[in-house]
Amino acid sequence: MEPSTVSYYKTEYIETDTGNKVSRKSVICGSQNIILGGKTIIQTDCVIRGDLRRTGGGHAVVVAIGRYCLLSRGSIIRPPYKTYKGAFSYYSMKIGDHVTIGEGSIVEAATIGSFVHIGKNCVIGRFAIIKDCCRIEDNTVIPPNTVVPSFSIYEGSPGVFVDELPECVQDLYEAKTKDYYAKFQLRGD
Amino acid sequence: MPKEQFAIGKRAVVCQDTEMKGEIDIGSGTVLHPQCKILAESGPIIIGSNNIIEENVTIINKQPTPLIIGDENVFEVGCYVEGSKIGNKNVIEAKARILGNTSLGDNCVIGAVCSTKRDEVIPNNTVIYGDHHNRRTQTTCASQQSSLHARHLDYLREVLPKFNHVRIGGANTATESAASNHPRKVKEKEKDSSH
Repeated sequence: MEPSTVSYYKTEYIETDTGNKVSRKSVICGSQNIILGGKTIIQTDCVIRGDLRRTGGGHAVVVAIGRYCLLSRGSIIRPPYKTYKGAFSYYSMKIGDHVTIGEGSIVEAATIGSFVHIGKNCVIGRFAIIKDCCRIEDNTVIPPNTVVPSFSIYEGSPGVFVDELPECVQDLYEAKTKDYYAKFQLRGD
Repeated sequence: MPKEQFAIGKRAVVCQDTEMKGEIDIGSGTVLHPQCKILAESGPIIIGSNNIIEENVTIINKQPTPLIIGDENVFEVGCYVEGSKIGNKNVIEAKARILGNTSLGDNCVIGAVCSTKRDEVIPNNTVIYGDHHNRRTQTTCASQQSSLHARHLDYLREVLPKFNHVRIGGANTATESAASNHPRKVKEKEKDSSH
């Protein structure tokens, strides 16, 4: 299924030098702690919490997002927290390349690999690890500390393994995210 | 239209981007993340001490009676709370919904994406979880949870003001508490002069 062209007004999005497109209506807290790889789209009403950083001094990257990612409307990215050896801290989150996060999803994962599709209204629990080439269906709840293996499809609440993905999925998701980025254009008038 | 009135307790941290409407009383030490909504549409909302209210949380009171929230509750990202009363030490997980005139006891957990029925009374230690909103009663004592909660609060009180515009209770707050602050300053001056 070919996605249709999505157009936006110049006043709605900010485009950075590396081709990231960030909605002005998204909420980015602690932007100095967030890295966007390039050609990533952050849509309206997204929330990224870069302010919840690790305790202790020095410069810390809280949220690192790769290339050609899509954060759809209303999705929330916030780093996970836990107490380790009696000290409370938030920890960093890493998201790979070609990752799509659906509308209204909440992500508190530790790592998300590359070529991952997360559907609408999902909740990804604290310190969940999602490996490369996965698909999380709409309305799934991945409990805290879950590891989702490569090439798997997870569904339900709590999310369970339902099916496998074919090996070609890497190319499919790569093509899909690149296509979406190419078709996410400035409105011409 | 109810009157607009906010009271913020001591050491409470309220981020500037929150949407607050109506008569709201926030207890001491409570932390409100940016982007949460507290809407006292008809009756007032009274929030106790040491609660954590994360982003995109909606707490709404549609009844004329007050919505009373106890102490040390956690409202995680995107949950929706209507209800008439919330006890102490509850965890409302991401996208959970408390509907209608429901009242919640103590030490309850409403799991992610779960919802309550409208107008029910949920007893203490209830856990609602899973696809079909199953219920069970938890038996273990939540001491671990409360120590985590205390540390979490300390962390948030330290970090949130560094990155967000906040109002901290007992300091430079809205008109009402500023007024109550003023006499205290005068008193301090008097102390200084007596030395």
